Amino acid sequence: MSDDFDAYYDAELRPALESLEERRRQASRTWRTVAGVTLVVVVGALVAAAALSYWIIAAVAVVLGAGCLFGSHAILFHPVIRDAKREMIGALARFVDPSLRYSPKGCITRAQFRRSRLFSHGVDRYRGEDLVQGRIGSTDIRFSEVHAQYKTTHTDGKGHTHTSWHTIFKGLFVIADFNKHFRGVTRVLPDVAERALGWFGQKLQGAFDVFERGELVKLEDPEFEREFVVYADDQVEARYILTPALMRRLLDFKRRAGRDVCFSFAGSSVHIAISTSRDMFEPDASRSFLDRAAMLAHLRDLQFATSVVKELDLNTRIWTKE
Amino acid sequence: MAVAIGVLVAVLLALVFVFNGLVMKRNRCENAFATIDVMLKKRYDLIPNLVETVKGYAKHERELLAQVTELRARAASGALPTDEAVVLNNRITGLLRRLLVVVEAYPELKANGNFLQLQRALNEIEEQIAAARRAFNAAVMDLNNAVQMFPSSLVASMTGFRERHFLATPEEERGAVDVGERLNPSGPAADT
Repeated sequence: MSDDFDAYYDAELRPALESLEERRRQASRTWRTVAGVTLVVVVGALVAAAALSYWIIAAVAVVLGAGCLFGSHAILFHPVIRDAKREMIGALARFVDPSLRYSPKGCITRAQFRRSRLFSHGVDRYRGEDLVQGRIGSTDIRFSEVHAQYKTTHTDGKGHTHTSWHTIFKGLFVIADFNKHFRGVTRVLPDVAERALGWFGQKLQGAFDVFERGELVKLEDPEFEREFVVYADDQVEARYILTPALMRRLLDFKRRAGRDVCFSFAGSSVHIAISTSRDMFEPDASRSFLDRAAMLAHLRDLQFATSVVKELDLNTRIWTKE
Repeated sequence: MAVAIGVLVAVLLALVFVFNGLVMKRNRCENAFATIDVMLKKRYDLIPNLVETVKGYAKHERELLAQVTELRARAASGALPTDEAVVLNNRITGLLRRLLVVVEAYPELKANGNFLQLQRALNEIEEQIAAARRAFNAAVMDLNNAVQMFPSSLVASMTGFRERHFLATPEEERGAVDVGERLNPSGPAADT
């Protein structure tokens, strides 16, 4: 695998990224010059302000200087990072599977997010990026970063209205074609009642509320029952989907993820929500784009997302769904 | 006086509540059992097609096929007591498994599109039957807990609720199924 990657790196990634790395260095040099000049001007202004005891100049200089630093950084680096991201993540995705296509601005749509019925809270703000989609074996898969929020407003005594935003879900959202037909919805959620109350669990509990939960499904695997709680429209269908083997696989997947994961089986697909506060698939402009370690980290993220096909055994198509 | 009436009403309400819970649990068992029946009927419908298809290719399996056909006819007649029907259907499950193993010896059969379709349908139904059986066992567990646990056990014994038996998994089902390997030789086996 690592040899494969080295060969791919030399053949595909390096040639594509070398010119981008040159642009990054150019941007870096320009920015350092801008920063140097800005610093000199600001220090000059501070000295002048001190000499004249005219402190408004100092304040204006500091604000303008900071604005200049951040503004020029964004203007210089943003296009480079954007292009590097498209090249790098796109190429890494093709390395994971040639069928995978990457769209930096695409995401799992709001409708798809809603269809999973994982989060029943109304969504007021929905954002996402880094959509990867393709077909691994017989299984269609797509995933992206998603951030869904709802807002609350309250009016204080002075009549000012305050709006605060609350996260419903932030992290990686994966949708993969499931290998069996089914009609209803089955949800596998972290069991907050049987475990210590994790923050995600609490959030989920709030988000799920009582409505639309469906029937509670009690399954045979005690370890699975400790980690998850299952709600479904149909008891038999839930067990048709959640075979003893799949229960083990979901448990293993959750352990590998090392964080809270919830699954839903709806509309002939499996939806997997893996919460993380990390911004994934973002090249770091302060390091070389050719840095192999950073690239391997992105590669691991991609492989983790696509591993659901293998981990949940979705390519086994021995039932009526082909 | 008022307190006594209050207590009496509370006790009565609790009794009604517990009784209704027991009825609900019993109905769930019935419902789950009926679901197994539906799935078994689907399998009865599938078996003649399967037997016909296999017959054309597998000349040496006449005895096995005749056995499947005969058991299917007896089970599908619907005249059997529940216990016997369960045993009979477990035997059918075992025979169908054996059938899928012996067809290994007939490459033309394995290449037959119709047979592959039937095999998929059979896998599907077997999976559905297993799920329905598990759903039934879960419902039985719920009912049995209520019948045995205090205080619902009091209500249960007064109103004649009884425990029900679990459906045991047939011996052949405990082993790993390797149908997956046969269908996609490169892919992983189904280990359900």
